[in-house]
Amino acid sequence: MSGDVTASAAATGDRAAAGGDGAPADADSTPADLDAVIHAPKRLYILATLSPVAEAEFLFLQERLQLSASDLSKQMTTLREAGLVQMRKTGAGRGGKTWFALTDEGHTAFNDYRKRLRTLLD
Amino acid sequence: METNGGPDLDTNAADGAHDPQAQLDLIDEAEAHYYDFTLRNWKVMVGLDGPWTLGRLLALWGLVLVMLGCGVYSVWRQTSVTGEGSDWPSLLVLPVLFAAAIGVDRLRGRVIGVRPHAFPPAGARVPMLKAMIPVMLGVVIIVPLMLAAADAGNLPLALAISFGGGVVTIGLTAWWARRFGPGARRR
Repeated sequence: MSGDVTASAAATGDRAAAGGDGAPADADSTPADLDAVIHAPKRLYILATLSPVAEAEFLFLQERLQLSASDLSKQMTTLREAGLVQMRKTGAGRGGKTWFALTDEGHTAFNDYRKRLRTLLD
Repeated sequence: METNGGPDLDTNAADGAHDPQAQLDLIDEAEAHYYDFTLRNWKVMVGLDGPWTLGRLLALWGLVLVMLGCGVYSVWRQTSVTGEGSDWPSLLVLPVLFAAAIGVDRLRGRVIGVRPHAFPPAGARVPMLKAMIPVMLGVVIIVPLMLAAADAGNLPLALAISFGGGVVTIGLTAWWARRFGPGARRR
């Protein structure tokens, strides 16, 4: 085990400063290169869940993550503002659904984050 | 990582400190659930899981009836029309294609007749292209075998392949998704 990772940009929420600009992982990766937005476990789990699927519905994510609606909504807002996730609504009223999907940038950032983690472990 | 049926996500991320191995394990756990989508979709399709609804009955037994109908019609056509180079074997392709369409639909998580949120597949969909690859692979394997058996005059074998083709195709699809799907472990 190589010890804990510290995302230095976590406090500022600055994705670019954290290396979340889609730049490829390399052998010189340092803990500070990790994307601070993705680094949080809840958001990481959301991205990993969305990664293999076309889109997932809000209640499905809530059930999977065992989060309150407000907490999940807050996490999704953060991911959307970072440009990693996109949202669409279908239906209306009680039958309405909110679907989330990774954006191209989200896929790139998630894959890059995972590469950087592996680089750190190697 | 799993607590009370859900992932352990309570770690405070504000300090930004996490074990990279734990982070990778978290990713694996989330992606591993993709297997559950696929496997449960398959179980639902063959009637081993999920609630019974009219939609499911039609999907499952409609498939069986269409296959059977095509097979019977093919036999009737061959025995009553006879003819060299007749194109009746091509009819056997229909049930396989029908099954392939069903298989794609299953993999995409649109389980016919099941209420939304009844279980995971209803809440997440897999990209169409990725779902089609194994299904088309199944069709490419099964259809030539079926036509070869028909051309050789082995009707029972041709019918057996026609009838079982859909099940084999869907099974191959489920296996493919588990083995090579986007959620497969990459380490």
